[in-house]
Parts: sequence; C-alpha cells; structure tokens
Amino acid sequence: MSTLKKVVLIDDDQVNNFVCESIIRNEKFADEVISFEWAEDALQYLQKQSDEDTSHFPELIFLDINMPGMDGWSFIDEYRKLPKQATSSCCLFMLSSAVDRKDILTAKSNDEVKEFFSKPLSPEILDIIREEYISG
Amino acid sequence: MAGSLCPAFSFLYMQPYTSDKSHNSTSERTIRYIGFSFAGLAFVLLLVCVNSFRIARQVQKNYESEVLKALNQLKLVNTLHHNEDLVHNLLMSHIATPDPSRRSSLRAGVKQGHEENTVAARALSRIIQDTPKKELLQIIKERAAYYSVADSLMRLSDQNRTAEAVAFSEAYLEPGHQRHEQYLNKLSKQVQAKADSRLHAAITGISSSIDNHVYLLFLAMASAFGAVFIISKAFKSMREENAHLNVEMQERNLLELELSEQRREYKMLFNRNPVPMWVYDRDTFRFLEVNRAAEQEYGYTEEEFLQMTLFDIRPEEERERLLANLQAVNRDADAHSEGFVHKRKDGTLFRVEVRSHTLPRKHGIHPRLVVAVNVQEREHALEQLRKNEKLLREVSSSVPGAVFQYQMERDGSFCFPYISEGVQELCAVTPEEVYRDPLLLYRNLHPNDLAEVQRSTLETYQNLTPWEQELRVWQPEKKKYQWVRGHSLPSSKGNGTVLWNGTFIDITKQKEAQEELTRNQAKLKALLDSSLQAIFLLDENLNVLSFNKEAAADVHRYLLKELKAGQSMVDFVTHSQVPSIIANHARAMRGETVMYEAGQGDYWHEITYQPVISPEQTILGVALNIRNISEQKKSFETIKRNELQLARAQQLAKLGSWEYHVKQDTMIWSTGTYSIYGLQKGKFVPSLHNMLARVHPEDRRRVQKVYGNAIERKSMLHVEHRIMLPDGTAANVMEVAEVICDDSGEVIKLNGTVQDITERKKAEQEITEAKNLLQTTIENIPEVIFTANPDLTIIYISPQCEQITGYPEAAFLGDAATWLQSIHSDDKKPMMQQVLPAVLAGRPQEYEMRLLDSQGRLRWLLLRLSPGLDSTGNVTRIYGSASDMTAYKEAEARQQELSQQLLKQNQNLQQFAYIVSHNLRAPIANMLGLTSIYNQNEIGSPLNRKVIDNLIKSAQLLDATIRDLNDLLTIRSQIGNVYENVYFDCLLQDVLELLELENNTREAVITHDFTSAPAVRIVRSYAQSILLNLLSNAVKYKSPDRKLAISITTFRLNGYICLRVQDNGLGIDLEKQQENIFGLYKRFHKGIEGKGIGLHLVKTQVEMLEGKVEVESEPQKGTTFNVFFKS
Repeated sequence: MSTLKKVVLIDDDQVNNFVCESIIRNEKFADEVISFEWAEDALQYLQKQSDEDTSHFPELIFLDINMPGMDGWSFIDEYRKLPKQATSSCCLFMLSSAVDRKDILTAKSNDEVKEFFSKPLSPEILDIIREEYISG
Repeated sequence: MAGSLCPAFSFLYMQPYTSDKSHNSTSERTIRYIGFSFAGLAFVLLLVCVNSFRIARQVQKNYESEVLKALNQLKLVNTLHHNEDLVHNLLMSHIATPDPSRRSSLRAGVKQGHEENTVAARALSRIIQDTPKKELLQIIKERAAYYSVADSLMRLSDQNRTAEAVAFSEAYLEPGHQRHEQYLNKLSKQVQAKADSRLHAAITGISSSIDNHVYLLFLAMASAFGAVFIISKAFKSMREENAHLNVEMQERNLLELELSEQRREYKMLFNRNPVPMWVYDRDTFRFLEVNRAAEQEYGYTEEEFLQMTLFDIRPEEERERLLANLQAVNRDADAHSEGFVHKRKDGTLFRVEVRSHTLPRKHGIHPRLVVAVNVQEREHALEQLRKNEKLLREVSSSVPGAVFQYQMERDGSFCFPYISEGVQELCAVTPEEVYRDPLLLYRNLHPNDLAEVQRSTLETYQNLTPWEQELRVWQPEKKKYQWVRGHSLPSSKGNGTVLWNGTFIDITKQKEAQEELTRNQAKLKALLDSSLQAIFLLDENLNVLSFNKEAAADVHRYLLKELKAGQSMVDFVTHSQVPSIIANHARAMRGETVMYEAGQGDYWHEITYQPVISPEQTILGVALNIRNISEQKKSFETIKRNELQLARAQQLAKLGSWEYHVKQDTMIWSTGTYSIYGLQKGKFVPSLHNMLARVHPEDRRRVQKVYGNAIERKSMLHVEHRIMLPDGTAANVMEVAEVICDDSGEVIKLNGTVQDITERKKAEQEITEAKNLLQTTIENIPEVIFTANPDLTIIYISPQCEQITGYPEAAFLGDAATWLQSIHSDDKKPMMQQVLPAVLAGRPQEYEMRLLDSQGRLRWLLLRLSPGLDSTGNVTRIYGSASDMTAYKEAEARQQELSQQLLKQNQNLQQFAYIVSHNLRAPIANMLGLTSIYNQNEIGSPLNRKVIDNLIKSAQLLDATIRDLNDLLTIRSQIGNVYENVYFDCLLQDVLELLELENNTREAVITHDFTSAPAVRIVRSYAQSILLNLLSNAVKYKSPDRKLAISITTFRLNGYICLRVQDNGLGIDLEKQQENIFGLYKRFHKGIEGKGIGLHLVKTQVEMLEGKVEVESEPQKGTTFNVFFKS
C-alpha cells in the first residue's frame, strides 16, 4: 500500500519526470504518477478530474516553474480557479531546477504552494512531505 | 541821608570819649584791679616754685645718703663672704698638704683672713642697726667657734694626723662653715631689704611732695581764675559806662546842631525878610544889626548903618518926638507906632509903620528889634484906587449892560440905590424909572424867571452868597426875549439891610452861541454815539470830559461801573495799564497822535490817543478812541494764517510765486521763491537781472529769450531750467507765468510761479533708468516676455521672440490669430479650451506646448501666463513668458530613452542570469536524480538502460546550453566586430545556402526586394545570424495547413534601414507573449523542437548594432519581423 493514491508531475523536462516517477515508485510514495510536459495539458486534466469525481483528483502535485507556454505561475493562477472541494485536499509543491531567491519568495507568498523544492527529487524530500503534510 | 550821617556823627564823637577814658576814675580802678590780681598771681607762683625746689632738694639728699649706706653695707658683707671662702679653702689645703713649710704659710693666710674679717665685721656692726645687727652678732659668735675649730684642725694637721684632721673637718668644720655662710647670706638679704625699705620711704616722700605741689598749683589756678573774673567784671562796667556816655554825647550834639540850625534860620529870617528890620541898642540907640531889606530901603550899607544911630534915619523935626517916644516905650514891652517919617540916604522921606520888640540881654547890651514897614506905597495905592473907582463909575455908564446896587431890608422891601444907564437898553426902563419904582425892572422879566429871581435873591440875602442868574427879558421893540446875565455880590449893612453890587450883561449872543454849541454838541454827541468806537475826551489831567455811548457801554460792560464826566480815566483801567495811559496821554498832549493795538487771544482793541487842537493851535485835551478790532484782528489773523499756510503749502510743494513788473523792471518774490533759490528775504533784491544771474549759465540765454518772447507775444511763459543755489549745487525749476496787460493791451506785469522740480527730475531720471534697466533685462533674458490684451492680441513682446521662434516681433503684434496659428495642432486645443480660460478667470497658468518656428521646426516652449487684474478683479492684461525648452525636451526624451534602454538591459541581464542558472542547473539536477535511481545491484535492468540514455541526453543538453551561452556572451562582448557594407542579396544567398540543408526549404516560397535599401554598414556575422535565425524561425513555425511563404524586403525609415521578414506561419499570440517573445529559452509552440534562443540572439545582435527589432503577429496568420539598422 503506498502513501498516496495519485501524484501529478508538471514539467517540460522529460528526464526529470522519469527520475521523479522512478523515485516515487521506488519509495512507494504513490500508487499512480501522472506526468505532464505542458502545464496547459495538466490543467485540462485537473479540470476534468474536479468536474467528474473529486476522489480522482490528485493528492499531490509537483510543479515546475520555467516552462514554454504556460509557466508555473500562470498555472497556479488557473489552478486557483478550480473548485475548492477538489483542490483543498491536494498539496501543491514547486519543484524547480532554479535556485533563484525571487522564485522561492514568490512561492512562499503563494497560498496554494505548500513548499518549494529544488531538483532533483529525492527520497528525503518525500520523507519530509510524508511527515509534514500527509501523516498529520 | 540820615542813615549815612548817623555813623559819621557817632564816629566823630567816639574819639574824644575814648581819649577821656584814661582820666576816668573807673578805668583807674580797673587797672588797679588788674595790677592787684596779676601781682597776687605772680606771688603765688613764686611761692610754689620755691617750695617745690626746696622739697625736691631734700628728697634728693635723703635718697643719696640711703643709697650710699646700703652700698657700703653690701660691700662689707661681700668682703666677709669672700674672706670666709678664702679661709675655708686655705684650711682645706692645709689639711691636704704634707709639706710643713707650706702649712705654716697657709696658717699665716688663715690668720690674715681671720683678722681682715674681724675688721670688716666690726665696721659692719658700726653701720648696721636693727634686725641685721642681731644677725651680725650671730655671725661674729659663729666665727669665734669656727676659728677655734680651725685652730684645732690645723693643729691636728701639723701633727700629721691627716686622717683625723679630715674626719674632724668633716665633723665640725664643714657644718660650721655652712652655717656661717647661711648667716652671711641672711645678713646680706636683710641689708638689702632694709635698703629697699628706705628707698621706698624716699620715693613715698617724693610723691607726697608732688601731691603737695598739686594743691599749690590748684591754688595758683584758682587765684588766676579770680584775677580773670575781676578783670572781666571791670571791663564790663567800663563798656556800660562807655555806652551811656556815648548816648549823652550824641544827644548833646544833636541839641547843639538844632540850636545852630535855629540860629541860622533866625538869621535867614532876619536877613532875607523883605521888610526892613534892624536891631539897636536901647541905651545908645546905635544900630547893632540890619537886614538887607533895610539896606535896600534906606540906601545905606551895613557898615554905614552900624556907625549910625536911630536918629540918623529921621528928619530933623522928628527927632525930639522920637526921643520922647522911645523913652515912653516900656522897656520890655512890644511897641507899635504909626505915622513916623523916615529919611533915606538920598534924603527922600517916607511914611513908616514901626513895630519893636525887646531881645534878650546880651553882654550888657539891651538890643531891640525894630520892624519898619514902608506904608508910603500902600497909602499911595489906596489913593490910586480911589481915583480908579471914580473913573470906573464914569466908565460903567458907557459899557454895554448895566451896573447896579440893590438894597433889601429885613422886611423884604428893596430899592436900587444905583443903576447905570445901560439898564435902559437891557430892560427898557430908565434908571430914573427904576429908582422910582424898582418893580418896573421885573415887568419885562420872563414869567418863569421871575419866581426864580425872587427865590435866589432871598437865598443870597440869607446866606450872603453871590447872586448870579441868567434871565430872559422881554424886548418890546425887538419883540423877543433877551438873555441877561445878572451877577452881584451881597454885603451886609447891618440891621438886616443887605446891599448888592452887581452887573447886568446882555448875553443873548453868547446864549445863542451856547445854544448853537449845545446843539452842535448834541449833534456831535449823537455822531459820536453812533460810532462803534468807544471815545473818551480827556482833559490834560486825564479826567473824562466827555464820552460817547459806546464808551459808557464798554465801561459798564467790562467794569460794571457808571461812566461819568469828570472821573479820572485812570479809574477805568487796570493798574498795569496806568503808566502806559499816562505816557500816551502825555505824548498826545504834546501834539502827537498815538495809536496802538492791545489785547490778547480773541479780544483786540485799537487804541488811539489824539490831541484835540483848538483853532488857536493849542491842545485842549485828548480824544481817546478805543475800537474793538477783535473781528478785524481775527479776520486779519485768518488772512495771515492763510498766507502762512499758503507759504507753507508753497514750501511743501517747493512752489513759489513771483511778479515781474515790466515797466518798473522790478520783481516781487514770495517766501517760497526765496527758499527755492536758497536766498534770504531782505538780503537779496529780486529783479530780472538778479534772477537771471542765478540761472544756470548754460540755461541763462534760453531763459532770457523765453521771458522776452512771453512779453513780446503776450503769451504764456513756460520754461524749465536750472538755477544755481548759493551752496554751488544746481536745482531744476519749472516756471509758469501769465502776462497781464492793461486796457490798452500793453504788458504791465508777469504773474508767475516757480516750482522746484529737482526731485521730480531726479525721479524721472530714475524711472527712465529703471525702465531702461528693466527693458534691457527683459530683452536679454533668454525668454520671450509678452503682454497681451484679454482678447489675446499681443501688445508687447520682447525681441527674444525672433531668436526662439524665428519670427520677428512684428509677426506677433496685432491680430491674435497669427501667433495662435503657429501652435502645434495637438497643443492648440487644450491651450484654447483650458489654459487661456483659466488665465482669463484670474488663475496663473503654466503650459508646455509646441510651436512651429519659421523654418517649420518644432520648438518646445514653457508658457507661463499670469493675469493682470484691475481693482475690481477683472483681467485687463495677460502677462506671459515663454522659455525655449526644446533642447531640454530633447534631452529629456533622450534621457528617457536611455534609461528605458538601461532598464531593459538590466532586465535582460537578470533574465539571462536566471535562465542561465535554470538551464544549466536543469540537466545537472537531472543527472543527479538519474544517478540516484541507477540500480547498481542490477546493472542490466531495463531501468538502468533508460537511466543511461537520459544521462547522455542531459549531458548533451548541458553541452549545448554551454555552447549557446558562449555564443551569446561572445556577441555581447563585441569582440572582433568589424563594420562593413553588407549587401542584402548576398547575405540572403549565403543564408539560404545554409538553410538548404534543412528539408523544409524547398517547400517554401521565398521572395525578396532590396531595391530601396540594397546595403547596410554592419557587422557581417551578426547580419547573417539575424537573417538565419529569422528565416529558420519562420520555417520552424510554419503552418502545417499551408505552404510557407516568406517575403524579405528592405526600406529606409527615419534614418534607419529596415529589414522586414514576413511569413504566413503559426503566428504568436502577442497579447500574451509580447514580453517573452525575445526572451532566452522561451518557446511558444508544443511539439516543435526549439531551445528558445534564436529570437533572443536576434534581438541581442540588433541591439549591439544600435538598432531595434519589432514584431507584428497574429496567431494562424503569420508573423512579421522588422529589423531596424542604423543607416
């Protein structure tokens, strides 16, 4: 039995998505990992999920900032518009390769964003998430 | 006089009195007193001196003997002492010495000392008494014991029993010696004490003698005081006597003086008496003294008189009668006799009346004073009188009027004992008729007067007062009353009979004249009364003779007194005015007319003293006129004040007036004129010549000409010129004058004013200077200054307008439309709709606007407008300034551009840094992640292969990114940039060759037109890169629905050469992506490979070439890039 049912990855970097999926699986963090290279696609999926059945809405989202087309911040603006009963049980984390201060500060000031993590994703990060955001 | 005389007298009589004093018994007594007291004093002093000397001497002697005795005693005691010690020592050495010879010599020494001491003790016992004597006897006794001990000691010593001797000595000799010494000491002390007591006694003796002296001195002092008291008493009594005597002397002197005065008076009375007087000796009948009148009367000198006897002044025949008479006269009684005849020296005779009086006997002579009055003349006069009376009687009948005698008896009956002929004419009755019937005289009397005559006659009868009356007597012939004045003196004849002697005089004419006079006086009085002046007529004694109503009213008004004729004028004036009244009256009495004004405040009077002169030119009195001139004075004061005010006003306005009388060639200046010329009235005589002399030399000729012209043409004179002031400075004046002509048109005078316009001139000059300064300032500031009317027509514009706008001043003046035209069309609307209405509403405005200058260039102007308001708040003017801010605006635009550029560059840099960090880190992070999931335990697992593939991919990406960055950095560093002319067709050719490697090229239609701008000066590599990137971009994002068509053209625009690349590809939603389009690693399209660096490179390179790139795009329609290169 994994910790979570569904995790969504939103990043244009396929390699990163591969790494994340592998780690989540290895750590048995989630039963299902869905990756999106385009934020627009991810948003579409989430809208669909919230419309149909909130139980299928992911419990956790890893979001990259720097993406062609819709970037992370634009995604958050749209995500905020999703029904609250869907998003309230979902934790959104920023996962970016950038170590820019500005990004971190922006992320922290954003209510939707739980926390900002630097790539690469690691079992340690998952442990932190598990401890702080899920077990409670 | 008396005051100054008295001390002189007292001084005079003091001297003899003081010299008398030495003989006076009082003074002798006084001197004696003084002598006694001084002698007593001297005696007492001598006594004191002698006594004190004697006592002092005695004391001295006592003292000396005491001292000597004490010294002797002490000396002897000392000798004893010394010898005892010596003996003792000798004894000691006797015991100690073993040598027998020496012992014998010592023994002899002891013996000698013993003998000496015995002598001394004996001598001492002689002079010492009392207590010490006892002591001495003790010593002598002790000594005897001591020497016996000494003898036994010496004996022991001689036997060489030294030890025994020593023991003996210690046992007996030593205590004996000590005791001996004690006694000696005691004795010496007692002797000293004795001597001290004696000396003390001597000193006590001295002090007691001193005390005695004090008593003596006190005695002497007392006697001295006594002497002084006696002396002072003596002096006092002397002084009193002196004063007493002085008073007596003064009285005596006064009496003597009086006596001599009386004598002198008598002498004078005698000598100066106009009646002949003499003194004769009753025994010898000799003249003793005669007075001057006698000398004159009788013709003898005094010496002659003194040689004569009484008989010598008598005719021969009278002598015997005289002798008898003289003998008959009582010797001491006064005598009086008439009818004597005296003879003068020249032999003429005259009758005398003699009075004699016996004088006091003197030196055995019986003098008698005789007064002889010459009665010859008196009798002669009487004789003459009688003759005259007779003559008068004759004459009286011929005079006009009548002389009468009127007699009235006690019973009232009366008669005229005499009446002259004149009565006929007066009363139309003859004297005979009057004598017959005295009542006839009353017949023609005026009935009114008759009763009065009877009354007054009765009154004068009773009182014997003169009768005087004016009567009217009817003249039947003349048919009118005639005025007669009757005047008579009554004399009582006894028995109640009174006789009047009197006259009747016709006074008709007088009366008529008097009536006329009275009438005239009344008229005069009325005339005077009608006068508003108070007029007093004063006589020579200041008494009021007459006055008018006004005078009476004045007196009543001011003094509440009734003015009456006969009162002194002095009573009607205040004390202080009396002297002036008297003085002025006196002057008038001398024929002078005195006139002055008096008063104070609002009350002023003109007072005139005018002599009243009779036709005979004598001064009868003084007319005092007092005219109330308060009103006149007030108006005069007002005029004066007005004049003063005028003068002051002139002074303030620095204005003066003058008159020039042409014919007389004289000038009259007002005070103001004098002050303008800085001259003093009275020290300068104004005339045309003198005035011209004061005119500034440069103006003189002109001024003279102006004066001449004015007179010649009879025109207004108006001239401004300078004058020289006395202090050497010049002043500017303006003169205006009008010419006054007489009836015949001839010029009489010029009436002119002169005004000091120095300050005005100065002010004018200052204003002109200020204006010039202002103008210069305005014209030189780099702004256009202008003034416009509310309808916007410019009425003034500073010359700067030409420099700024290129249009001359004239172009702006006048019609407002002209200059409003030049305003930039965009600015005109707000200007007309907002700015100008606000200014016209009274609010100052600032407005930046553009203006097209004369050459069509745009100028930026900062227009400042402020309204000029009148007192009611209406805008009457618009004041404005326009500063050229074109350069500023351009600079501002440049600055803005620059800062924007900088901002953009900064943004780019930030972005670059961000991207670089992100894009470099992304593959590295991936690599890290991959390695973490690499399954080392199972190398051949499928996951591991995937991991390896991804690792390679990431490494390649990292490499590519680093390469791109390197390219970018190379471009930005601008290293090796060479500008050259690049032809666009060559460039396109090269790029297409590069792109032909790509598959899609053939499917695209590429058209180009470079005719407008075939070449550009540029860095070739950049140009190639830019075109390559733009074309590859177009190819990369071609629409899958249609064949790609690319159009490449060049053209010139605003100093740039523009390269336009237009495609019909996918297009970009610019509304969303405008910011990111040229961003690094920005991609917009899914499913199409792209690093997002191409457009960023284009932009970077264009910017490096100082150009710019713009993009126009529409999704699904195509994109157009315009690249601008600097030409």
